Amino acid sequence: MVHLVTSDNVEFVVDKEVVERSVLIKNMLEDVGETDQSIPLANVSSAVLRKVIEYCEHHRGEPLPSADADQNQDETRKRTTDISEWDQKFITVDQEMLFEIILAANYLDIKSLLDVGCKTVANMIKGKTPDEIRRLFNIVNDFTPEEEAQIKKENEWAEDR
Amino acid sequence: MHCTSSLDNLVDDIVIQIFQTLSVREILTLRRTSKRYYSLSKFRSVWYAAFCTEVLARHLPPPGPSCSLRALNSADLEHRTLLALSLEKRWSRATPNVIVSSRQRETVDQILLIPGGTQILTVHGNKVIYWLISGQTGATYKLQKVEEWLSPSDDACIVVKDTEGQGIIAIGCRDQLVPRLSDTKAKGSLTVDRPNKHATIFSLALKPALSKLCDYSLIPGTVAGISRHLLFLDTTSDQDGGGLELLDWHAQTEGTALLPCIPDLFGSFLGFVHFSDHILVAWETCISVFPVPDIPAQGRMVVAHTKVFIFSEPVSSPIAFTTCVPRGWTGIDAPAYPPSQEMPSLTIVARPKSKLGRIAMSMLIPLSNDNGAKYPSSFPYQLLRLPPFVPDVPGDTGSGVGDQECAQICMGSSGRGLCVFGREVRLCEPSLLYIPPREMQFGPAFETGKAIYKIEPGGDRVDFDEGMGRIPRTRDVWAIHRHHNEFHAENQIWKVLKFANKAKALQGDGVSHCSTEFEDEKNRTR
Repeated sequence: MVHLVTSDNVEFVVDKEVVERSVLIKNMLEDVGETDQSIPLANVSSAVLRKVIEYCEHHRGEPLPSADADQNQDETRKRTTDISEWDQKFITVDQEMLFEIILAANYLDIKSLLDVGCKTVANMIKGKTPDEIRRLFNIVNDFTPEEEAQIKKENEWAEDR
Repeated sequence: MHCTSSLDNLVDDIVIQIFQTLSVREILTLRRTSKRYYSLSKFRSVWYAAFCTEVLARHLPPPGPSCSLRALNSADLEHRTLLALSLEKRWSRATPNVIVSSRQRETVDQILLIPGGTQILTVHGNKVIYWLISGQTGATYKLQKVEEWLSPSDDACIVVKDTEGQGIIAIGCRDQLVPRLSDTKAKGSLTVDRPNKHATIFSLALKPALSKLCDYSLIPGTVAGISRHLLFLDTTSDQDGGGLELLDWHAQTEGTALLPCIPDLFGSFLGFVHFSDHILVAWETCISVFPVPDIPAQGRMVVAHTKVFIFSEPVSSPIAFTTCVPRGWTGIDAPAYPPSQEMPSLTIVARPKSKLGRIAMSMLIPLSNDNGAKYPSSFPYQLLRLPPFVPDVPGDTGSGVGDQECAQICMGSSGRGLCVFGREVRLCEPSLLYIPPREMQFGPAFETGKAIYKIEPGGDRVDFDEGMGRIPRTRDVWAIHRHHNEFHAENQIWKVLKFANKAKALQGDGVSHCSTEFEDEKNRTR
């Protein structure tokens, strides 16, 4: 069993097999060996870690993607925006939680979860105009009107369907 | 504790990964939201992913010269991806822009655009000039004379490019004594006493610019084509009955293999194509199918045909072929994707011998399993006739434009192509054809509406590149037309970029003429 302590000081006790889905923790455990000491996760809150552990529990036993996976396969896999049904349900959270999960997955190095998160954001972008995207994701438009017109012009062909 | 409800709070690496998941249209939309996303959208890994999935995996004709993917920077990948997608979308509707124009006081006999769309060869009598179109998107394009080659004899040259798009060319002597379209009976005695025929093979892919790969001081017949290791020679004018004679230029041996012509039955030689591990030779009345022969080191070996398909009506030059399968990215580190079609068909596009104002099309399609089992064959195809293409001139029946002869047909392997009827250049693109009782097949479909461009009748020659959408055109003055400009707003403006060379400067005839030419072009096409 592994002890994890979140940024808001909540301790989680998790199966080693489950928590090793995180490459960061896996490497850490390999480095320090068997230990009863808890691992501090300063960047992850308890609410987020609970979700992340839920994800890892569900995918327990699935093979980890190898670090040196063929790049071509990697590219094609990334581009398919299909998400499995369970993952889809799992990731149906509010936007703040979604971004927290993505950041945690990135920090903990859980590739498959990061993928699910990125694909979800990508799916949210689909079919929207730049304005709709700005509103959805709280992005501040810092282009001058001239710059905006120029960028729009660069790729006008893509506009007309 | 920071607030993460804005996409701005995700670190760059994650945003780049999100970009890699987006389609090109969405990348272009997201980059317009703010400066941060604009600059992150320029990362190479974003466009590497987009190029692989939206261009290479979809088997779009490769835009620009093939090279190692690793050698392409972000801007290049982005440019090629966007160019490929925009051409795919508007190929047959595009309006050409002149991107480079040149005024040269030399007659151009032939113009060839090498696959990749940046290298041009022009033939002037016994001289061949190699040009490069240089310049970046949006900036000025220049024609740069790279190399000049002079034939060792005074004979006018003929240049052929390889069918595989590897940048290999063969230069031979033009057979001037036998007009191309003359009756077969008129040949023979005239050409026999012209033994000084040489052929030289060059690579345009290697450095220096025109790398000589192989030199033959004496070859039988006229250079008709080059494909893989084979040099194709037309020896049908030989008195003792020739055909298409093959030399192995890799081995550089003297021996030849003859794909014989049966003169009274086949008619004149028109063209050939490598298809389905066979060599298909098109004659006026038929297509004869030959296995790819092993060329003997010495002597002449005669190859027997496997099959002959008779055309429903005799055809003549011009002729072109397409499988509607783009030749693909040939760079060494190109990712492998499953083929776009299991067993492609081959479309033969040619001008009928008796109806010069139309294009006849026939298609070699794979035999269905039932038929294949009943009649096992080493070449399990059947020839079907497709509806001919007759250029349609709306509201202009009186002027006789519809009777114009088909002068040129160029087809790319993707099924994109062009044809010239009289003065008018028209485009074709691949489309799904339903051929009962078989399933759908991809075949070229010509644009029946307006012509995209007008050239001078007679002497003008054009070529094209399906990946870049460029059409070079020759006259005494020649110009390159690009099919679609990345800056759509400028689409209606002719963009003529000055090209100065010594010949022009000597004649003191520079910029002013260029601008006259510019006006001419503008008025003529409107």
